[in-house]
Amino acid sequence: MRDRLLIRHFLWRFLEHDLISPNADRHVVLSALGGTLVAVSGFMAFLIATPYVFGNLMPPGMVSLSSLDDRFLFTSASMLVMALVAVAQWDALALDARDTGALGVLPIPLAVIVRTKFAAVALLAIGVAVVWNLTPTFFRFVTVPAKLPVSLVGLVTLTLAHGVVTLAAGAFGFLSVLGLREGMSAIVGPARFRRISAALQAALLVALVTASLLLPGAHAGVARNWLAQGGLAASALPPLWFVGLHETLAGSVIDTLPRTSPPRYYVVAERDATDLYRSLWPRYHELAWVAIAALAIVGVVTTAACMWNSRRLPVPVVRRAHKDGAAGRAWKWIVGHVVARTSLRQAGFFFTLQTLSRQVSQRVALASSLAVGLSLMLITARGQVLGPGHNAGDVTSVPLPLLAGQSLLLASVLSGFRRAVRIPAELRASTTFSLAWAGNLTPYMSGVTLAGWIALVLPTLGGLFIWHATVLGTRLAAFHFGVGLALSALLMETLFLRYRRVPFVSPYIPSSELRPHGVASAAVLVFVSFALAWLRGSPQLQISCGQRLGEDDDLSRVHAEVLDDVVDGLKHGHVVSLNGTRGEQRLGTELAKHGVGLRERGLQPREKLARRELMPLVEFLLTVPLHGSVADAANYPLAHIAAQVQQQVADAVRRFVRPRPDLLVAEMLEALRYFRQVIRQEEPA
Amino acid sequence: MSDVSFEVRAGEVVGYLGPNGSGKSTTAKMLTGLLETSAGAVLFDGQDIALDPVAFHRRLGYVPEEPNLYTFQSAIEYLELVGRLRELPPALLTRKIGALLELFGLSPAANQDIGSYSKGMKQKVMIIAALLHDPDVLVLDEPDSGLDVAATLVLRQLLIALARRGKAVLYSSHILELVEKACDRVVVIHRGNVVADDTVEALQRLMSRGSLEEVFSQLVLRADPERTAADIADVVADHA
Repeated sequence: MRDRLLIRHFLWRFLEHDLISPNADRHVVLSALGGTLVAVSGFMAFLIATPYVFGNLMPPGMVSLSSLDDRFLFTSASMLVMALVAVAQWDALALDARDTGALGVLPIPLAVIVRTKFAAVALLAIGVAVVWNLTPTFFRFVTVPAKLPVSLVGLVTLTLAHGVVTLAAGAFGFLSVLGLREGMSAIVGPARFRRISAALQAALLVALVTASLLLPGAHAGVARNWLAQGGLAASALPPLWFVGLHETLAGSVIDTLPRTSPPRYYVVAERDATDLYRSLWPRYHELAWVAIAALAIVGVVTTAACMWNSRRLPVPVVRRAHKDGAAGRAWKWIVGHVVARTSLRQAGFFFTLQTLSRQVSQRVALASSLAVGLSLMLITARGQVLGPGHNAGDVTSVPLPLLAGQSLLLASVLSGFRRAVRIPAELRASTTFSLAWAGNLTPYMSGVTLAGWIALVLPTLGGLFIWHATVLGTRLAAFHFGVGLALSALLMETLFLRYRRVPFVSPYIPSSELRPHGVASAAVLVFVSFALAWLRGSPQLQISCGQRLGEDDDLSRVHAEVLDDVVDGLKHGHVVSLNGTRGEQRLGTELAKHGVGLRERGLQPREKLARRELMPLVEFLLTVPLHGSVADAANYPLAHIAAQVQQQVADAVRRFVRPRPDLLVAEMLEALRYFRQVIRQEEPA
Repeated sequence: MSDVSFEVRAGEVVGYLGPNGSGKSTTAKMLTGLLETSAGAVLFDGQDIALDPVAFHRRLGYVPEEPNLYTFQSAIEYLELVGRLRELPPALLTRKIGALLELFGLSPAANQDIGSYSKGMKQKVMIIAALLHDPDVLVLDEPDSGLDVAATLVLRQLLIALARRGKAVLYSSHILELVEKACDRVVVIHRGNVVADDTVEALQRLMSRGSLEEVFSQLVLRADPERTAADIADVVADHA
C-alpha cells in the first residue's frame, strides 16, 4: 500500500514538470501527451503501411528488403522518442532535494523510497514505450502484401518481433540517457554535475531533436547503404543493431516463403533483392548480438549508477558563489556605458541573459528551435558541394541551399527566442515587476532584443562564419555574415513588432489564432516550400528511386519488359518520357557535381520545370492514371496497353517510388490523392 | 473584507493585527494595488491609487507575506533588477545595494543563488528591495517572518527611524510585543472587519488590560487558548 502510494506520488511528479505549466490539470496534460504519442505513431504506421496495401504483387525478396527500411525507421523513432522523454524529464529521473524534504522526515526506509522512485521511472518508460509502439505493432500485419502466403503463425511472429524489437530499442534509448545522466553524476559528484547538467541536457536535446527531424530522410536504402557496406559506421548505428535483431527473430518468415515466378518486370529486381537480403544474414545475426549486448550493458551500467547515486537521500546543493572578476566587471562596464545606457535597458538586457541561461523552460525552447534550424539547414544543404568552377569571391557560384541555411537557422533560433520570451521566468516572482514597473516597455524591450542579439544571433552567425570561411573563403563569409546581421535585424524587428507583453513576466496564454505566429509561420512555410521544391527536383532523389531497384538501368528494364507486351506500331511517347527521366537524372547529377543548386534550376525554362515537376512521383507512380487526363492520347501509348499490364506496371513501379517520408507530408498527400485516382480507374476495369 | 477603513499618516507606524485568515494580507494587496477592490477606494495624498498606479508604485515600498523572488538570480542581481526597473542611477544603485547588503548581513551570500537562501535571508532581500528607492509609503506584511532575533530588533528600530523621517508605515505582524513597541497606532481586523483602531495605550486603557497581547486576545479570540491546547494534546495522545 505504501509502495503504491509512493509510486503514484512519483508518477504525478513527472507531470508537474517545469516544461509543463505547473498549474495545468494533470489529467488534461496526460491526455494530451498520450493522444499526441498515439496520433503521431499511428500516422507514421499508416504512411508506411499504405504502399504495401496497394502493392499486392510485390514478391517476398523485395518485401524483405523494403522491410529493413521500415524497421530502421520504427526502431530509430522508438529510440529517439524514449530518449527525448528521458531528456525532458531529466532532473525528475532521480531523487532530488525536494524528495528529501518531503519524504526524508517520514519513517520510510531509504530502500523503499529508492525502490519506488525507480519503479515509477520504469513505469513511465514502459508506459510511453507501449503507447508509442502500440499502433505500429498492430499495423505490422498490414505491411505484408496480401498476396504473400504468410501463415497466421508467421503474422503473429512478425507482429511480436516488431513489438519486442521496438520496445527494446525504446528501452535502449531511455536507458542510454538515464545511464549517461546517472553515470556522469556518479563520476563527477552531485555538486559538479549540477553545474554541467543543464548544458548536457541542452546538448542532448539539440542532438535528439535534430536526429528526429532528419530521420524521415535518412531511413531509405538501409540494406544497400549501411548493411551491405559494413564497416564501423554501420556497426555504430544503434538502430541497425535492433534491425538485425528483428531480422534474426522474424526475418525468415518472409524470406523462406516459396519463390513463385513473379511478374516478368519484377524478375531482375526480385532476384537482386533476394540475393542482397540473403547475403546479409550473417550481418543480421552479428547485429542482433550487438543489440542484446548493448541493451544488457546499458541496463547494468545504468542500474549500477542509479544505485550508487541513491546510497543516501540527496541534499540541496548550494552553488558556489562566484564574484565578478576583472572580465565580468569590464563586461558590465561596457554594457552600462556602451551597449545599454539607460537603467530600463540594462534591466531588460541582464534579466534576459540570466533567464535564458538559467531557466529550464527557456533553455528547452531555445534548444528545440536550434535543433529545428540545424535540421532544416542540413536538409537543404545536403549534397551541395562546391564544384571546381567555384570562384572564392563569386557568390553566384555558391549553391543556393548553402547560403539559405544561414537564414533558416537564424529564423528558427529567433522564433525560439520569441517563444522563450513569452514564457514567464518565475510566475510567482512577477510581483517584482508589478511593483517596480515604470510602465515604459520600449527601453526594456530594447534591452531584451539586444540580449537576444548578443546571446543568440552573434554566436550563431559566428559559428556559421567559421564554417563559411572554411568552405566559401573569408571574403564571401564576411559578406554572408553581413547579410545574416541584416536579416537578423529584420527578423527581430518583425517578430517583436506587435509584442506588447512584458517579456519573461506576463503569464503565457496560448493563442487560439494564428496571428501571433504569423511571421514565424510564414517564414517556416517559405522555407519548407523551398526545401520541398529542392527535394522535388533533387537529382539525389531521382537516383535513389533507381537504386532501390538495384541499378539505374533496372527501371528502364522494367519498362522494356512492359513494352514487350505493347502492340507493335505504338508510338513510344511514354518511353521517350521515361528515358527523358534518365536523361534528366544525368543532367541532375551533373548539376549536383558542379555545385549548381536550386537557383540555377530556378532559372531553367518553365517547361523544363514543369516536366521536372512530374517526376518521379507522377511519371513513375501514375503510369495508369496519367493517361486518362491527357488531352492528346496519341502521345500516350498506354491507352492501348491491356488493363492488366497497366495494373502490373503501376504495382511494380509504385512500390519503389512510393513517397518517401523525406518528401514530407505534402508529397504523401499528393501521392495518396493519386492512389485514389488509380482506384477509381480500376473499378470500371 | 467589508467596511475596512483606516488611515496611515506620514511619520506614523501603524500596526495591523488579526488572526489567520482575517484579511491582513488581502488588505495589504489592496493597498498596494495588486488586488482590485470590489467597492471603495485606496487613497494616497487624497487621490485614488487606481487612477495612476505607476505613480503610486514609485512612492511605495512593499514587503509581501511570501518572499517570491527569482530564485535563479543572486541577491545582487535581483536588487539590481529592481533598482533598474525603478530607474535608479547606476552609481547610486551599486552603492546602495552594497551598503544595504552589508548592513543586513547578507554580503557573504550576496553572489549566491537566492534559491539556496533561508527564509530569513529571502525576507531580508525583500526588505532591501522595498527600501532601495526611498519610498514614502511602506507596507510590510509580516516582514519579521523567518528573521533571527538580531534582525527583528533591527527591523523594529528601522521602522521607527523611517517614520521619524516622514514615511508612512503599515506594519502587519503576529509578534505583538514588536508591534506594541514599534507602532504609534494599532488597527485590529477580525473576520474582514476592523474591530479596533487606536493607540496601544488607549486600547490598553479601554480594555483594562496590561498588554497588547491581552487586548488582542479579548478582541479576537473566541475560545480559551488553554482549553483549546488541552483539547489538541488529547487528540494527539489518542492511539485507539
